[in-house]
Amino acid sequence: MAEFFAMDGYAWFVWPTYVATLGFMAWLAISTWRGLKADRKVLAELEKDAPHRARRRESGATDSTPLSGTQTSDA
Amino acid sequence: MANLHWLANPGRFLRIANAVLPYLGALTAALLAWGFFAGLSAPHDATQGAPAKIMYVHVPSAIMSMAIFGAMAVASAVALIWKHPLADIAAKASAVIGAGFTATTLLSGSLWGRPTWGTFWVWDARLTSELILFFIYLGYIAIWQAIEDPNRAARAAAILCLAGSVNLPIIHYSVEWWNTLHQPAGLLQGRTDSSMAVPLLTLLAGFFSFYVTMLLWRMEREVVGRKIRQLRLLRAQA
Repeated sequence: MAEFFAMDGYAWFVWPTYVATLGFMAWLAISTWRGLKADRKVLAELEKDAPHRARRRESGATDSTPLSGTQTSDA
Repeated sequence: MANLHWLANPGRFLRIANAVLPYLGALTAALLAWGFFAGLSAPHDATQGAPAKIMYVHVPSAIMSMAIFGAMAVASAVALIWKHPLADIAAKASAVIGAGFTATTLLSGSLWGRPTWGTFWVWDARLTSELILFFIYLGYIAIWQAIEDPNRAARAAAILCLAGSVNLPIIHYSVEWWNTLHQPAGLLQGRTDSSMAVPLLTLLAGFFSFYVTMLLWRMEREVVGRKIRQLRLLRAQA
């Protein structure tokens, strides 16, 4: 096992590449997921405070807010 | 174009994405876990020895750094020409992922270069053009952050992305056009033994699957973020 981690004396070249790459991938996944969860919560609060939108949602139209920067709406 | 327009409804897109994501996440985890295990337990390279283990992260990172920029260029063209509402969102959502893989490509290449070439860095064509790709990614991200109106930001970013895509063939052919320390690609030419090619291809599939997973999450985040912005604007006007 120690021999495996030593990488024939090249441990300082091999392992940092794995740590950096896996570290970046883990950071990206965690930060993206956390950000998405937080933003979903903010959106839910905002939609709760906008009664006319809530009514439209109840009547079956999900995602009633058109995207800015787009030409189509969901309604 | 019919299919593209069918997906142009962000609500429908998000429903499909959320249905696919659990399977995609599981596939990504399985491919990466097996790929890293197989790569690290594969025999050492006959001539390079242990440093060649760096290949298992360097090659997939490098391919993704270019593939993601290529995908962004296609999405940017679709956004500019057809005004597809999800195209600029897809391009924007890809940028951080691609920039990250470009950084890991440069870092892993540098750490591979020291024991095999005797230097961390040389200003040759392959390395320099990949570094330029990294700067183009940073410029693209900076445009989105600098311009507040999404329509204007999308247009400026798409034009930068299309102009920057000229760099992709330069990176790819740099090892053939110029004298360079960097070796040409050998993976798909049957010169790589299967004990190394199979883990490498598995990791490539894993990195790609990771990209698609992150892309869908980040696209949803962008859609949600734009709705938040819109609702806040409406409220400010009320």
